[in-house]
This record gives sequence, structure tokens and C-alpha cells, in this order.
Amino acid sequence: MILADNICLSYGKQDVIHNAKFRIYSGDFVFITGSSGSGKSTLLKSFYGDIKLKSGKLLVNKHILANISNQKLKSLRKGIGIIFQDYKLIQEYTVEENIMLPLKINGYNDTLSLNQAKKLLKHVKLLNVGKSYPNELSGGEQQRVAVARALSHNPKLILADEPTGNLDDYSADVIWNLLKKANEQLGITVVVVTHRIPEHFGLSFRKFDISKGEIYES
Amino acid sequence: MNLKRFISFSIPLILMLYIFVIYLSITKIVTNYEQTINKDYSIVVVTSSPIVQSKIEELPSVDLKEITHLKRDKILKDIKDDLSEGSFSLLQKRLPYFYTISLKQFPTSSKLKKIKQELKSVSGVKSVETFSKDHNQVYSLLLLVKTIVSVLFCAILIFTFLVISNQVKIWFFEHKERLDIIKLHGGSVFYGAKPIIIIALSSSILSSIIVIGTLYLLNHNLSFIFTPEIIEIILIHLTPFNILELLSIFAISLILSIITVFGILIKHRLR
Repeated sequence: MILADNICLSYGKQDVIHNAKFRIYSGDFVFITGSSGSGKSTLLKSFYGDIKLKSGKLLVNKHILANISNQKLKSLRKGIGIIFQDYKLIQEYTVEENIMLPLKINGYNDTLSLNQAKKLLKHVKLLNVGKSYPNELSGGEQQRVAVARALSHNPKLILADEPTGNLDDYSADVIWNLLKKANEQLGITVVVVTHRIPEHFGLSFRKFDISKGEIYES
Repeated sequence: MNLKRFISFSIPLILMLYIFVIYLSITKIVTNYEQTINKDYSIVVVTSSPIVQSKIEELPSVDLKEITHLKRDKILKDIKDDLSEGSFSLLQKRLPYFYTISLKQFPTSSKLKKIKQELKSVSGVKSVETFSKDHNQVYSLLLLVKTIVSVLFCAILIFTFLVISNQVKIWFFEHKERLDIIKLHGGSVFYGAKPIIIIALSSSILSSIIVIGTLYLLNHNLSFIFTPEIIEIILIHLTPFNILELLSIFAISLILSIITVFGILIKHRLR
């Protein structure tokens, strides 16, 4: 699913990842941890082409990321579900429209997209807020909408950047359960950047720790 | 918010289209006037030998419409009885050839001067006379108005382009976050910019309808706006707008909107 071969990444002028080598297999649940500024978010961003590689080879979902063309980058992103710490929901869109976004981008028609959005709203237990706007929801609810959006187009890979960073414990648990279900029941590969791995996660997972630009698997 | 953007797109477009209509009207008036005065206008060329049409056509400034040989027989017949046979046969030999030349377009004074010079340079041409009556001043004035309106139209066209492109840039700035989210999900700039494309297209259609509607109203209510003298001039010199001209109003509005919006979209796509 993801293959990194001697990749180097920098954030601004600062080098954050040096010659990292790792492999993430299809169906894996991976946590990427590390202290603030260690480069874990930078690494995740490189998986969906938001940060360019300085050197090395990176293969994500059959797409080679070095010097990737605009068209191929779009194709890569269309096959990934992304969850952000700040939710990144479109405020002018209703909850349903936000969930429908990846489907519409992938060329699904309105009826099919709406049905899928409703199905996912039921899945994340937010069926009654479909016509609401994101700013009318709590942080936990917004992140559930973001998870629904990430799952909407049946991606093979979900990338989550601190998905519970802004949430209380209860809301965080809901999000972890949703991600676990996606991995367990749908076989989606999940890569999560987080400060803290939840206790009693109840699912086998791999953990990559970033320290001083090096990546260690533990 | 969209209504505000819609209005800020439409106002410069409407302004530009009104100037375009004025430009079209002036052009039509000048063309009609040219055709009218062209009928009253001719150049008379006096030559010692018969003229060859192709030689006149070769002259760079002469846009020849017609060359007519003025029959000498009629002139000779009129004076035959007053002359002795010897004088008549001498006159028959010596009488030059007369031609009237009509041009496709009414020439300006400077062009006429050039035409005269070129015609005089043709071998056998003895003299060239022009009779322009008193059209020249009115024609020059019309040409001046046409030039001023053309310059004004170009200026308004640039102004409209700048206003619309600024509006599109502001829209992009206001919707940056949304466009970024769409891009992160693999959507294109064109997908994200659908609302502004719709605003641009619909405002250009509406602007055309407003301007064409105004033309229709003006055409049917001339007496409310203009004095009878002006109406007379309008009716003589300004033929009604045909479908092609109305389509050109619509096309110029649409093309300007599309070029402006897509130009900025492509710029964003390349970033």
C-alpha cells in the first residue's frame, strides 16, 4: 500500500525526515507518533502529495510520488480518505454535501451520492443533521462528519492527522471506534498520526515512532 | 453575497455592451452615409488615349468600383452643326477621352489627394477632377466620432476585463479554504470554481438581454427620447440591428467573461 525507500522530507528549510525506509501493507492499522515538530504530520502530508519529497522513492496506492503530475496527484487523492485535526469541512456546504464531496469528485451522480451520504450519516449516528451546516455541530460531531466523508467513496487508504486532537474523551472514543470498524470490517488501510495512542485500543496495530528525523517501528 | 458578485460582474459588462452598441450604431451610420454620398461622388479623368481598366486597378490607393467611359459622340453631335467639316474632323482627332471613376468607399481628403496623384501618374492622363460637393466635412466629423467611440470602447473593454478579473481574484481569495479542501480530495480547480463560472456566464447572458432589451425599447419609443430631426436621421442612416449584430453583442459579453474567468482559473491551476 505504502512503500518508502530512503525518503527525505523537509519542512521549510528544516530537514525533518532523513532516509526513512518502511512499508505499510494493505489492511494495516498504523499509528505514527512522535513529539511536536518531529515531522509526523509532514510525513503524512507526503503520502497525499501535499509535501514534496526532497529525495528517495515513495509509492502510495500504486502511485509514485516523486515528480508526480497534477493529473496523477488528483487520481491518487481521489482514492484516499483524509481526516484532519481541524476537520476541514466546507462551511458553505451542508453536512450531506460535505460527505458527498469525494463522491461528486469521483463522478458519482447526485442520487447515488446522497444515498451514500445518508447511509454514512446513519453509520456515524448523525442521521438527523444532514441538512445542518458544520458550524451548527459540536467538534465531535464535525469530526464524525469528516470520518463519514473520508469513508464515502470506499477508499483503500485512510490518512488521519491527529483526528482526536481537538476532541473530548467521549468524542475521541467514537472516532477511534469508527476508524477501527473501517479497518476491521471494510479492510481499509488506516494510517493515523497522533500524540497519544488510545489505551485498550483492542485491535492489533503497527506503530512508527519518529525521533530526530529517524523512523523506528515498535 | 452571490447577488453582490453577480451585480459587480454585470454592471461593467452592461456598460461595455452599451458602448459596443454605440460603436456599432456609429459604424452603421458611417457606412450608410458613405454609401449615400458615394452615389453623388465621382472622379473625372481626362486622357489623351483610351484608358486600360487594369492599369487603374493596379493603383494602390484606388479601390475601384466602376469606370465609365463618357461617350464623345454625344458631345460631338451637339456641336457638329456649329462647326465646319475641317474644324469638326480636327476636333474629333484632338478631343480627349473622358472617364468617370467610382470608388467602393468614400475617400477621406488625404486619400483623395493620393488617388489624384496616382491617377495623374498613369500614362496618357491629362487631368483629374474631383467633385465631392459638401460631404467632406460631415464625413470627417463622423469619422472622428467613430474613432473616439472605438477608443472609448477599447478603454471600456480593458476596464471591464480588469474589474471582472479583480472580482474573480477576490472570489478565489474568499474561497481559498474551500478550494484547498476540494484539491485535497482530488478535485480540480474547475470543479471548485463552478460557482464563479456560473456567475460569470449567467451575468454575461443577463447583461446581453438587458442591452438587447434596451435596444428594443429604444427602437419602439424613439419619439419619447429623440427630437423629430434626430429620429429622421436615425431612420435614414441607422438600419435596425440584424440577428448577427445582436448575436455579436451576446458573443462579446460571453467571450470576455469566459476569457477572464478561465484565464485566472488556469493561472491558479498552474500554481
